[in-house]
Amino acid sequence: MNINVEEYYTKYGPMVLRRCRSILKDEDRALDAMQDVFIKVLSRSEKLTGDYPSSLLYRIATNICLNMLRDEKTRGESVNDDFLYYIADSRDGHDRLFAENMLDSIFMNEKESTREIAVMLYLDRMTLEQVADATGLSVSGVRKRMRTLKEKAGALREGIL
Amino acid sequence: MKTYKYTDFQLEQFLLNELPDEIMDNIRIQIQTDSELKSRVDKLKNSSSDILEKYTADLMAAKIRSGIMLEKEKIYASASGVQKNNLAVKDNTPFMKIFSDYFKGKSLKLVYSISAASVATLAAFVIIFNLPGIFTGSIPVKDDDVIRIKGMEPGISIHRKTGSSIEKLKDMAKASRGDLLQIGYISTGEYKYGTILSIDGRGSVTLHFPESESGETLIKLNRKVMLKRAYELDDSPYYEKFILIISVKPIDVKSVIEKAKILAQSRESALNGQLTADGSSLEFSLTLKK
Repeated sequence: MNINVEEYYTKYGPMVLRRCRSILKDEDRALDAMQDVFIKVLSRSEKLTGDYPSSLLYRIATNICLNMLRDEKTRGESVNDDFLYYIADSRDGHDRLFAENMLDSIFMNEKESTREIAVMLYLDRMTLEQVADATGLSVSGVRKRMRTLKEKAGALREGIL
Repeated sequence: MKTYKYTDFQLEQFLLNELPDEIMDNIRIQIQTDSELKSRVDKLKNSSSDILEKYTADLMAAKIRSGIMLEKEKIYASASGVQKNNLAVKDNTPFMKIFSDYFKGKSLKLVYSISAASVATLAAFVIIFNLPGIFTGSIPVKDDDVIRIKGMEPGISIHRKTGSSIEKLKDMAKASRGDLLQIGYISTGEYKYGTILSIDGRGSVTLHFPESESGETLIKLNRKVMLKRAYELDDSPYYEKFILIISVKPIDVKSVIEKAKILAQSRESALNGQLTADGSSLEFSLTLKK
């Protein structure tokens, strides 16, 4: 798919940057993440279809930011939001497979990772019903995905999920 | 009428016209009576305008294109099993952090060999930490003494030596007469020619690279390169704007300087004008306030 980078950035850049800002809480890092999102997506432009790309970009932005947080935690850098870092670092069986090739998984429109769902609930303050709508899972399916995370995270932040 | 609480992402998609028709219509209708929803949508619109004004499409597109080239190289190398240059370090690792952490003894997941790292890192330290005076002392470092880092973006960097510490200066950072500055650049892709100059608040133009108007403009690619000589700020007032031009073609430095002198005639044009207009070159700048 032939894409004009300027037009693509003009259309989707603000949305992607806002997403990165909301997770990273740092302008410089959000800017880096935003560029990375476009680079990753446009490097694989042959895989893009004519469908609306906002969902794809939003999911990739979320995952790239979570990976940045996870890497910071691994490096022992400043951790100012324990729970978000916990989400970034957490993976269940689905996530481990998903993470093997995050970009391909998203391009193939596979189900959202548990991390993404946790971000929707915790950071985006979406209701279980909204998450279910957004992910195509049932409400009980969302609950199930969150159960393990919730148990493990209980000590970190009671009552968030 | 029942109001529905839309998520931020749904409103993003609404502005992009990427929701199913039914939901698009519902939001349009609800906006008429729901002031909170209207306020959220307006806020997003304003935010988009601010972002596109601050991070312009032409600048960001240039950075993205450059990153795409590197990413495709990585994809190709990964697919073909090619072992790339073993001087590469992890993506997005800040340049100064590499040095400081390396000397603190951290591994930092450096994947280059100790011997190569020692040479390259030491060379960069010599450049940064032993700054000579104004265009005088030359640094005993060969042109090849540079650090190669994967995933870099083209641009210009300025480091300042203050006492025994080194800091990387951001655009519009405050600087003063006597500050010792080390100018660096990164170029990628096909942009294998470059020149660096600066315009100060008196309207003077100073060439930093190449060393003369007739000098060779061929530059290193995919590496952070420090110029051989440091630069000491003089007492010119208001600002010093450093400009990097990279090009796919050899650069006529004399012509660039002439254009810079024209821009330098007014503060407005010096700070906001551009030296290049064709599609074969990219221009980056970093301005210091004085």
